[in-house]
Amino acid sequence: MGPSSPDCATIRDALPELALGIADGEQRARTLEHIAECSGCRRELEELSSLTDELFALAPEREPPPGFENRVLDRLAICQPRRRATWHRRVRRLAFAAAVPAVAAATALAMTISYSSDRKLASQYRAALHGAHGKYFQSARLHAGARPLTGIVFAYQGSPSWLFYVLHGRYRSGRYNEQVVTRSGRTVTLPPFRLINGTWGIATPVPVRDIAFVKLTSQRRGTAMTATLPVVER
Amino acid sequence: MLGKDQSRDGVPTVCMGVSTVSDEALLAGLATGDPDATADFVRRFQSRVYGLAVTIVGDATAAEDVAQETFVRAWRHAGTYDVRRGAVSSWLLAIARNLALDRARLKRSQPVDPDVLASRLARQASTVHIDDAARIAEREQLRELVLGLPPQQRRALVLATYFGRTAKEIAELDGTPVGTVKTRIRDGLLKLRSRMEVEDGSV
Repeated sequence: MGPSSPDCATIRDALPELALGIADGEQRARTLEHIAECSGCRRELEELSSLTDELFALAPEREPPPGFENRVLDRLAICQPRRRATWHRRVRRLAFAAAVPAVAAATALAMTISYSSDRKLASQYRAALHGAHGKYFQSARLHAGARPLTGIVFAYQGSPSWLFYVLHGRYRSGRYNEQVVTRSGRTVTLPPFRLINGTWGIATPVPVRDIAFVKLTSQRRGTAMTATLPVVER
Repeated sequence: MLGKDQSRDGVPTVCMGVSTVSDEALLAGLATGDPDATADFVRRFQSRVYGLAVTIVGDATAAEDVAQETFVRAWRHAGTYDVRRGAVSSWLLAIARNLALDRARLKRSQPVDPDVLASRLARQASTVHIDDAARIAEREQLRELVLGLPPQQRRALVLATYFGRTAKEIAELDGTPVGTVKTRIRDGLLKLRSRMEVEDGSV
């Protein structure tokens, strides 16, 4: 069916109502049947539809009431039971994070273990994350070969993302080279650092969600420590 | 291990700003349940979705319900979005509009006078999300054209666009023959299109 078909004139008269979504069922069915066969009318409908899209977009923007974003995310979590479970597991795993103020770049962390209920904890956790556009906070143990634990790395996914190391025992002092390996296998070398009281923090150019593991190498001893960051379930 | 010198130069540039991520990428993230992308998606579109909802349904509580439901639907159907069928924002606003119209029809009310609404269009629109100056100008131009339509055409078009009224309903509302209303809607829309094209220089 070409644009010169006798039907086209009638159909084109009906297209504006179809584009506006106000055509009645019969009119709609007839028109759709026609445009399935007629590329000219189909193009016309596409053009009108992009115009009506622009009209819808003329509605003035308005900020929704406070807390809207969280309410939506809560609803999405309810729609997705797995994610809710993950959230709770994550909150439990990060119980200590409740009292951690989110800072733009890690210089120091003061942590208090809180025994609040999950609910209160979740709320505190969100508030803490809010401080630097954070999405989540996680931790992983650092291992040096067979040694079970040489320290912990805390990782904050936010803007910026940052890593904070707490090293134990004889690893508490010294200079270290630092690398992160992304989930796509790319190695990114970060500036070497000297530990201060067994701790060190850095804002990382690689978002935490993209980091598979971190690797610290002692410049003096050559000991390498690694920590695998947990995958945030999707 | 890479040397010290490479430690700075060797770090590739990584885009960390939310604003640099395309709408399509955020929607893809929403489809796969990526928590970051989901939050960013909501943040990016909430004022447009809520703005349209409140325009159509009138009151804040109903508008919030509609806006929330819009994001739930978007999340459910994100996997079926087809980039060839238009911009993500259009797709999302179409969802919002349909939900808002359903809600407005339930109430069987016309919360705002169509002429008042026409005069308000996009006047308060923030430009935070539209970084393209050409698009801002285009939107402003479309608003001017809507305001410049003959009053009866404008009224019919606003009732159809923002209140989802069918030609028959508008005819009953205004005591005008259905055929006349259909013509007003059609002429109004076609006039907008031809003038936008003229201003674009595409004709």
